[in-house]
Amino acid sequence: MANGSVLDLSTETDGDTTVVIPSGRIDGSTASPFQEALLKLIEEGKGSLVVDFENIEYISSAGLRVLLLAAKQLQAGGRKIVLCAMRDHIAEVFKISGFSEILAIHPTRQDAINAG
Amino acid sequence: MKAALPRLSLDLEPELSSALKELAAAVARFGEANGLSDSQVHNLSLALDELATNTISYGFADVDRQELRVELRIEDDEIVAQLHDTGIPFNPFEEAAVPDIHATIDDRPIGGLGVFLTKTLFPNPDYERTDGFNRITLRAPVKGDS
Repeated sequence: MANGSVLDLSTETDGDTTVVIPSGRIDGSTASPFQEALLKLIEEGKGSLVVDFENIEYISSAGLRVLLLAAKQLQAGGRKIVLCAMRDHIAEVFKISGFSEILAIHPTRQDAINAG
Repeated sequence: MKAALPRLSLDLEPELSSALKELAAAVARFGEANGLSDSQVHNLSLALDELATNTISYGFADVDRQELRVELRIEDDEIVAQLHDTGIPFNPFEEAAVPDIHATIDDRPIGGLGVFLTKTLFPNPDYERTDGFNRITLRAPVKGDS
């Protein structure tokens, strides 16, 4: 497992849906660039935002905070955020925090795009 | 199993990015040396990250002496993790607000989850303030690889 506060991010689009694929760790030191990137994508996009967790190895409450902020922004514009492909220990963090009750989480990217 | 690294002590820089990096690496090393499960290493890493992040981001504001030490050890089949910091006196387990984890997206306030996650993963944490240090102790039964 790579350690260190590095977060890379790539994006794709599928119709009106924006798919963002971050990789690395989302913690207190990477949450801020992650937030900037998501808010910019929300501003530029029209449809749903899919966040693919396939390459995310770790998320702390600083990352959950960013996702909630993004969800609020999207919801205010009648849009939604859809998450997918989480590792078990990350899914557990979403469950404990109650985020799995308020955010849609799907097994695969395609499921998430279909739900978006 | 004979522990190759039964005890680990780490002084962290009061700079978030390097501190979190060092902390994650140290917890991974400690977990591997002691045969802890991936899930247990993750939980330990997350709880210590949350506490250290709070100390560096808030506890050290307006404090000249900025020391943060993490100690990990295995004791009687228990993982014992301690954080000692010279931040402002603060017991996160008493003073941090408890989030409503059933609120809707609109109603849910931003933030306030770190201490909650820590407490959920490590029930009954200890806090004391002695000699100018906040001292937090987390404990959990050792869970191995199998």
